[in-house]
Amino acid sequence: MNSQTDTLDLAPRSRSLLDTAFLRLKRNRAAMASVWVVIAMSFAAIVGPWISPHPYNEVYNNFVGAKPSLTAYPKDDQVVPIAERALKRARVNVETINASRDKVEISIINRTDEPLDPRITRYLVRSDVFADVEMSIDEDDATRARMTADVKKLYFLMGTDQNGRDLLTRILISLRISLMVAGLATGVALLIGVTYGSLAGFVGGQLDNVMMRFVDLLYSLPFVFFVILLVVFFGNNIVLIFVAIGAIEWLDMARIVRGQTLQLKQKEFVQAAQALGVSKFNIIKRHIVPNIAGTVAIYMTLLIPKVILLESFLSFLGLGVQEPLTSLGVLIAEGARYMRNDPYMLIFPALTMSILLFALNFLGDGLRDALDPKDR
Amino acid sequence: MLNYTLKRLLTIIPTLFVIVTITFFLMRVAPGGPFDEERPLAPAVLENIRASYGLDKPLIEQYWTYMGNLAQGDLGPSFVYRDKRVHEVLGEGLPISMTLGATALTIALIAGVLLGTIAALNQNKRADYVIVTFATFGITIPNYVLAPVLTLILALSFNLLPATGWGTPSQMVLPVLSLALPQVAIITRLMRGSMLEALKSDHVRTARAYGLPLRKVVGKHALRSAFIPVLTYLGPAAAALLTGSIVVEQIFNIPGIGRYFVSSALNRDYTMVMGTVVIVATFVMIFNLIIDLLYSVLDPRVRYE
Repeated sequence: MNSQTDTLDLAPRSRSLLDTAFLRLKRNRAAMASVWVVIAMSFAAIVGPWISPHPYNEVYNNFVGAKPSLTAYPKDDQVVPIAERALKRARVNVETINASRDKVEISIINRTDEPLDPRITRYLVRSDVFADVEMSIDEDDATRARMTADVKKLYFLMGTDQNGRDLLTRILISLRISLMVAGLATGVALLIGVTYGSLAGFVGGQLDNVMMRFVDLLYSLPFVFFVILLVVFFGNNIVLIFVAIGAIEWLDMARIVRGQTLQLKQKEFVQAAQALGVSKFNIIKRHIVPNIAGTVAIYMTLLIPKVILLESFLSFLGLGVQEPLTSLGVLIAEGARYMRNDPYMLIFPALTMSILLFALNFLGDGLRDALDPKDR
Repeated sequence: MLNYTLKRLLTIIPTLFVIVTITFFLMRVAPGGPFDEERPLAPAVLENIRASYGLDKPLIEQYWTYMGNLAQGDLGPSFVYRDKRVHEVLGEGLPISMTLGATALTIALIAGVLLGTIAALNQNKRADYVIVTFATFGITIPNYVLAPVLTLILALSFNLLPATGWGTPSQMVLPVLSLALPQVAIITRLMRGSMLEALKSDHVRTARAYGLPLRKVVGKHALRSAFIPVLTYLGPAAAALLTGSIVVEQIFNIPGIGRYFVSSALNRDYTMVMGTVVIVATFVMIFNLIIDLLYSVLDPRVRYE
């Protein structure tokens, strides 16, 4: 080995802009906490609905509006009424019911003199509380029988909604929808905004003038109205709604990108590329877009909470995602309707939404401070 | 100044023209029509109804008819509220929505400016931290979360205020509060930042050096320049109040025009949609003009030729 490479390796590595930014972000405690909250929530949104014991659209008829509880459902005093309700439709008389923590013993007698049909066990199975139902018909009297069944343990940590669906699972799936919307719509806004802004800024002149007047015009429109019109126009197609939101949110992005491009255009390396005869499209692709990436990234993190808000707003009005899928806006709207008797239906979704928005806002602010080269 | 105002007022007309045109064709291209019902009408009946509203004519002809009527201030008949004209329906709700919005904006302005100034004067002290924390909460939480939560706490748990309705002052408290609070938060943050800057500026230091009392310096000299960013924000604030009022009117069951925003678009009530767009767009543009004119009042360097 020659010694020259050794000394080269020992030379201190210079800190890049990104390294500094990362260091500064690390020092910002609120932002770092937000990073973890966002990661945890995204993880819960992706994995949660899969590992949850309840499908998000499963309706538990016996547990409509069940209160949040850390212990399992059915509660001790619920087992007997549930079994009675299930067997009511079987047209048999219930003589005794013995319910323990996880087993139930029922003796029944048929209302008519005919022998009991063993298929009536289905009434118990269908009530989604009992499993492994067994029925032994009395050997002497075929109108009498003893049924035994296991009582399932169902956990509704955040209770169930007004249709008897597990609220925790629904919150997880709505988190997934909200984050998906945010990703897709921000992507669309990014694509349109960056293309439009860099083109207007780089070509300049009359084209720039026309393009930016168009943006000004769109700014002066009642913006919500156009989102509503677009949603009406596209129908209730979830993907198209995301695209519509993105197609509305690109205006700020276009303005910012145009401003940055105007500055970059004067730089020597761009002029050098022009002198070498590189095409306009290639200059935008290779020189302009990479140089505005930082600004765009900051703006993007601030755009994500805005998009989530807009989607929830539309869902709140009933224009967003449709049943049985759900989103935070839908859950909050439903919770508001039932808050009089079941305030938890409002509190849990509202809390989830607030935490997510807090984390995203803190993260966006932190990134903006960290990446600001003027503020060392 | 008068010239400028007139010029700006005149530019409202072509802008409105473009907005109305876009909305008109966007609405018409959308699938469905105002007379779609669950039990479809007999084709002959439908033809008759369509003909009586002029919907059977070519689209371009309908467009020019509508534009002609609009130029004379006629918004046309509503397709869904059958025996009413659009201006009647909107005329009932508009004063209510205006009262709601104006009250919320006034409260947001007063509270925001006050809180922001207090925070700036106590920079990095306890009052500042409390106000900044409050502002962060207010900015993050949207009104469709705030409104039901406030109702839950103030109306349902403690029974202090009525939960829905409109008319009495006590019924106004919750809607106005849920509409205003996010704006209070934003204005507070803006005001705090600009006031901090204004307090450091030369003319404020000079005024202090002359021995003017702090209250006078802040209230007269610093406030004037610190208010400019807040003034700039008033345009977006009006738009946010508009959006917010759709939600708030729905939650509190208030008979304003907010509900027509969504329902008329969903029902394909063409004239109603156009009517709300025209009214809202005109309102937003005039509001922006007033804000621009106010700049020259606050900042003598701004002059409109």
